Amino acid sequence: MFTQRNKTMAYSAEISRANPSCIVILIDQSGSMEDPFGQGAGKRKADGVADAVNRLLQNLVIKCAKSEGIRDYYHVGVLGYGDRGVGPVFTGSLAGRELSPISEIANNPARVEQRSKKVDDGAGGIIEQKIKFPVWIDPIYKGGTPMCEALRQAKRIISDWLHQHVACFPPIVINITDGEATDGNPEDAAEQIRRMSSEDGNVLMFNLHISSSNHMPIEFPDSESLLPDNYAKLLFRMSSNLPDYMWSMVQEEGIIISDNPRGFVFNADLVSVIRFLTIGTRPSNLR
Amino acid sequence: MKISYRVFWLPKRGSSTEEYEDAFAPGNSDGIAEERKNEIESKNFKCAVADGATETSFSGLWAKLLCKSYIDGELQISDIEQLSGLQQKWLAEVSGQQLPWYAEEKLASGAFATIAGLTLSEEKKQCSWSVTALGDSCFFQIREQQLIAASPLSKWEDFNYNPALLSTRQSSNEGILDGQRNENGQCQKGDLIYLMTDAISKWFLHRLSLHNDAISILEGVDDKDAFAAFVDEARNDKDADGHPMMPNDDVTWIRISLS
Repeated sequence: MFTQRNKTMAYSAEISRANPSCIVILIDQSGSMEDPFGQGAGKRKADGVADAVNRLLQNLVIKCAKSEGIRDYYHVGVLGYGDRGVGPVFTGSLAGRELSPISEIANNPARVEQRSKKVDDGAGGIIEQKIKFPVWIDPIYKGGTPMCEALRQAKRIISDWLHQHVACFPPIVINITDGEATDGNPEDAAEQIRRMSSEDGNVLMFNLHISSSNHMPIEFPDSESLLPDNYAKLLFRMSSNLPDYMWSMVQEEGIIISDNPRGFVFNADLVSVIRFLTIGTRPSNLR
Repeated sequence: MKISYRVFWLPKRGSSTEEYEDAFAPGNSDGIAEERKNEIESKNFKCAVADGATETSFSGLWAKLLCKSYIDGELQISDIEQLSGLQQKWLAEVSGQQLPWYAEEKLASGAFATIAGLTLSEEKKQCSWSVTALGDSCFFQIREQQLIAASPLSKWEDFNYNPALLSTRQSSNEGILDGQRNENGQCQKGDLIYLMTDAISKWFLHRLSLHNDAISILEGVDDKDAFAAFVDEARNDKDADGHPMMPNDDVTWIRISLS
C-alpha cells in the first residue's frame, strides 16, 4: 500500500516538442576519480561516471524515440569539470555546445559499440543478445575539482533557458561526483540553482555520489544521518526534495522511501529519474 | 436492431495526423475512417477502440491490429497465447528496415496498447452488450441522459499515466490478465453507447461528477469541426488542481445509438 501525501500543482507541465525542457549533467573528471569505485572489482570511479552518463543519455534518447525518429522533448548539456576547468564534453559535431536537442545527441554518439546483454529467452532460460551501445563519454580523471564553477555555469545555462521557456517542466541538473570539490563549498551554488524556477516549479538538483566506499548503495534518503561520509552528507544537502509525483512513482517501483526523500543516490542507479519524466502513457508492464 | 455509429478522433495538440496512435474499428483500410454517420441493421455488431502507448514505438500499428482483430472475431484477450499470431504480424510489418541504434532498442522493448471491444447482439428481440477491456479505454452506456454502466473504469480519479497494457512482447504480458475486465448487460432502443480512449473518458467522468452536463455537451457534437472545438475547450479547461480537464492526448470516441 502506498502512503498518501498532499499533492501540489507543480511539476505537471506537459513535456512536448512545443514545450520542451532541459537537463544539464555535470560530471566530475578530476584526478580523484581514478580511485576504485565502490564494490566493483577493478573499476575506477571515472568508469562509474562514464557508465552513468552514457546510460542516462541512452535512456533519455530511447524515451524520446518514436517510430519516425526522435522527438525533441529535451535539450541536454553535459559539462565536465576537472583539469581543464569546466566545459562541454561532447565531441564531433556536438563539440563546444552547451545544450543540444536530444535528437542531435541521439544521432551523434562518439561511437556505437556492440555489447552483450543477458535476456530472458521466454522459455525459462537466459540467452546472450548482441546490442548496440552508444558511447558519448569516456572515463577521464585529471586535475582538481572545480564543482562550484560547474554549478555556476549550469545556473547560467538554465537561467538562459528559462528566459525562453517560462512555462516548461522545470529543468533538471544531475551532478555526478565523489563530492570532493576543490574550489570551495558548493552548497550555496547548488541552492542558487534550486531557487530558479519556471511557472511549473523549481529547478531540480539531483546528485549521484560515486564513492570508493564499500557501503551498500543508498537511494533517495530523507536524512543525512545514515549516510556514510561527509561528502555524501554534503551532496544530500545540495539535492532537491523529490516532487510529489516522482515520490509516487518511486513508490510504485517498489522502492520504499519515506515522506521527504531527496534526489540523491549513493553508488546507485539514477536512471530511474529518466523513467520519472512523463511524456505520455508509459505502460506499467514496460521494463 | 438498428445501429447508428459515428467515430470522432483527433491527434494530440501539437502532433500531426500521422502521429495519431489511437485506433478504432470499423474504419477504412488504414484504420482512420471519416466521421460520417453509419446506419446498419445487425444482430451482431462489433466495434473497438485502442490506445497505443506514447512511450513505445510502432504502438499505433499495434493498436490498429488489435481493433481489427477484435471486430473480425479473432481476438480473445483471455487467451494470451493466442496473441502470438497478431504479434508476429506486427513484427513482420516493422522488421526488415535498417534502423538507428535507438529505434532498434525501442523496437526490442515492444509496442503496447489498451483495447476496449464491444459486441452488441440481438436474440429474440432482446439486445445485449458485452465488453472486454484491458487498460483505460472505456465503455459507457447512457439511458435517458443518465450513465447506467461504465467499464473498466467508472471514476475519473482512477486514470493515470501507467496502466498495464497489451504488449507485442509475450514476456511483458505475464500477469496482464489481472487487469482485464469482461462485462455484459442489456440494452434497449434509445440507449447511447460510447467507446472512448482515456483522455476523453477521463473528461467525461470528471465533468459528470462536477456538472452533470457531460452527456448533453457530447450530444451537441454533430460534426468534425464541433468535435475539434469541444476537444480544444476541454483541453484548455482546468480542474480545481489546475490540471487540464482533458489531458493532451490522442482522442477517440465511437458514439453508438440504438433504435
